[in-house]
Amino acid sequence: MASTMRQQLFRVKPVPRDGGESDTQLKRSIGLFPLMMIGVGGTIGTGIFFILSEAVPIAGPAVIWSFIIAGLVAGLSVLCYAELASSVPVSGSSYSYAYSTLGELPAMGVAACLLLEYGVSTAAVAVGWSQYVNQLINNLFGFELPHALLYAPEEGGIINLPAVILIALCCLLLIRGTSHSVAANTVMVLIKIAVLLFFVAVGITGWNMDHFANFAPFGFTGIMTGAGIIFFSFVGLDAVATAGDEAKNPRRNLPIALIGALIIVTGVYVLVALTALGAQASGEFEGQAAGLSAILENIVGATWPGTVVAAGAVISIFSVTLVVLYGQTRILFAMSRDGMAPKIFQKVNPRTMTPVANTIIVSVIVAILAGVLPINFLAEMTSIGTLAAFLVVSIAVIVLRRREPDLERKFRVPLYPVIPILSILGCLWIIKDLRPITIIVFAIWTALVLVWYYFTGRKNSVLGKQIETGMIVLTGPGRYRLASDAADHADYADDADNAGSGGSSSGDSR
Amino acid sequence: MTIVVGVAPNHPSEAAIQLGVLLARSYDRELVVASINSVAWPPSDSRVDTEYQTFLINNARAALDEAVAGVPSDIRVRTVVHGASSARRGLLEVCAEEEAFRLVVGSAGEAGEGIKLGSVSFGLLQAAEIPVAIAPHGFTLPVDASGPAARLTRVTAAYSGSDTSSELVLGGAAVAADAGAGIRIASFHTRPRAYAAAGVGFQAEDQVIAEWEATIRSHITEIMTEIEQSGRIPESIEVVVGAGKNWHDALRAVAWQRTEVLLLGSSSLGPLARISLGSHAAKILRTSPVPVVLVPRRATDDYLARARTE
Repeated sequence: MASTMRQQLFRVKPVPRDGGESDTQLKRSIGLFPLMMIGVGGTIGTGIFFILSEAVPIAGPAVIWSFIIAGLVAGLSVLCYAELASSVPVSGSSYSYAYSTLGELPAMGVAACLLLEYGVSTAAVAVGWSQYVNQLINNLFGFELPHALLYAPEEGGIINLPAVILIALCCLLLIRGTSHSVAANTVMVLIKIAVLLFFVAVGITGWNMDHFANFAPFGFTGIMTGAGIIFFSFVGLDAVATAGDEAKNPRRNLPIALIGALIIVTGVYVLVALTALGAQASGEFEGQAAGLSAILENIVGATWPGTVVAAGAVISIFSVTLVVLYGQTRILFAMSRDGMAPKIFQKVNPRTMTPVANTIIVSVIVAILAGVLPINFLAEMTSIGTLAAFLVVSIAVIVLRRREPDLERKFRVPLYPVIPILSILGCLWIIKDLRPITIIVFAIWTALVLVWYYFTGRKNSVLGKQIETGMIVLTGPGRYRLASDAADHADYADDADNAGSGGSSSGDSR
Repeated sequence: MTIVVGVAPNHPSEAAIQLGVLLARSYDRELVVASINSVAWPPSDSRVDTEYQTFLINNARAALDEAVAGVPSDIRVRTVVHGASSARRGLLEVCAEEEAFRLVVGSAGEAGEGIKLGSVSFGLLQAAEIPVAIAPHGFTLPVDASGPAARLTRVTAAYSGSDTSSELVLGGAAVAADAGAGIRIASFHTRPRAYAAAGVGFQAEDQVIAEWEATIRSHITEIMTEIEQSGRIPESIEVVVGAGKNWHDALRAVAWQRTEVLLLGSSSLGPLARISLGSHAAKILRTSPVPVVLVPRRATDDYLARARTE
């Protein structure tokens, strides 16, 4: 059966009824608190340790509002994300959800965003880590790494060596195969929060109201541009949505966990930002490396508080880098299994049971990015990737509600359609105020991915081959079902088709 | 060539003897039950400890007599008391003298599941150049008065995907054929957990494992073709993959026979001749429900040479 271009671009990957992979008997159920901690854990540690020195020079003390706006938009988007995730009965990344709801082309668009959200943010986080490692080494052993080995070429260095080393270490751990329990995640979260609260407790002693005198020197535009950079520090909140599949009572717990995580994260961020702003004039932020440590040292006049914060930052940023790098390899793995990325990404080493080639390729690329690019560019690229992914997700919620109103959703966005629309507007608004270079690079990058898809992915699509060979049957416009599943679920297919398209071609061909 | 069973006085030896009997009957070898005594040290002619040495030898003899009392009449069996500076060295000396084909010892520690390595058996693994069979606590042969006496029915070779382990499987097929037993190629995995906060879903690792299993199965298919071309074809060839949330469950996800041994290879990272357990092999050993035969890499090469020449 020759399919039209439109059919190809929007073919939707069917979801097997049993939840996909064979071993579903090991479903875990996650309670409200650990679920909330997953959101907090994925988020805190990515940005707050170093984002102030980038955002304060742009927004001034009004950066507080930037945090709140970024948090609000992230929260709205993640609610939409949760609905999308809960309407697909397998868990995965937003790439998988897009593929199973919107179709192949939108999934590739989301994948392009995710490569930024994960790959580039790993690089950004690693660069932030290098500052704190240097600070820690300096405080403990009394020597500093040479400038040339600590900064990107644009900032007057040669290569950011600690960042490269960090990624190499994470790469080794991932190749060896580590696992990470929900409990371990909770412990890590508590360490991070403890370090940040320590910063607040010590830093508040240096409070000076005068620092807030010129509150918004760059006006509203400054606040919004700041929000764009800061959005980077909310990356990871979406992890809660992907856990929805295993959450106990998702209808109740998912929104509570999301909003709870958002309030905790935003609260901690605002407290940290207020403390930092109260402690030093906003002019001092620019170019300050290992900012939180430096601020405490200036207030107390001793190195020990800075050492504590630096040590906490080194530990928690390390764990974040590991987790995000891991996420990137598994997204590429899933894409490769779908035929959307080269086959090398799905090769699993039999002995280590991990995708070794995949991990090495991703790590090398991320290490290069971390080694030679400045942190503000990396942070903005991450922000725009995440914002664009959230944008697609929010649109997807509206599209799906219209196209398949009867689809079973474990979680529905409250106040529909207000929240998805606000989310879309919020994302667009923040994107608008990012630096033009960021938007241009993003547009080129997405275009490259889509061109790549047009020439290779579209033809290599495993789904496309399955449709051609009849393993997957068309049951309606944009709707497919596994041939082996079709017989058992004819009733389900009927419902969906009748609702979606007036039953123009119902799925009960057998 | 013989099968040597190491017996320590005052330590339960039934399981090791039973395993020795099984191997001796299956490979048609003589059983040599050995006990190692510590010799006088420093060596001297004054023989100040003659009485103590006599006590030790008598003690060892009594233990050996007790141990061989249960050996069925169809097995040729001898006992040996050997003096050496350590149990490990003594057993290796006995193996050399008796041209041992296998060395059999029991599990260390208190009764319990799986196999624990004690100081002696751990040392043996480091030094042995022949396969070492270790019986778990409580290993017994099925008693069936009417039927033929128990023989090895199946050899399960653990396949990890490495080159040495595929050689092990080929060699295992040859020895299984010698014993008239079937070969089973088994791979085990524990289900790794995805990182909770990575935002890629908790089942991300299931896909990786599915891919791993596909890779392993395609490798095994190649190995099976090679077994079939070798001319020494075992009674039967099976393939199995065991999965569980930990190694204990993964090993028990597949069925085991009572007259079956599990062949574990040496890590390819260790010294060429000796056995060094990889981390996975060590975990499998600890929870194995059946006797384990640990094969040093040099013995693997011998296996392989035999499998390919005959």
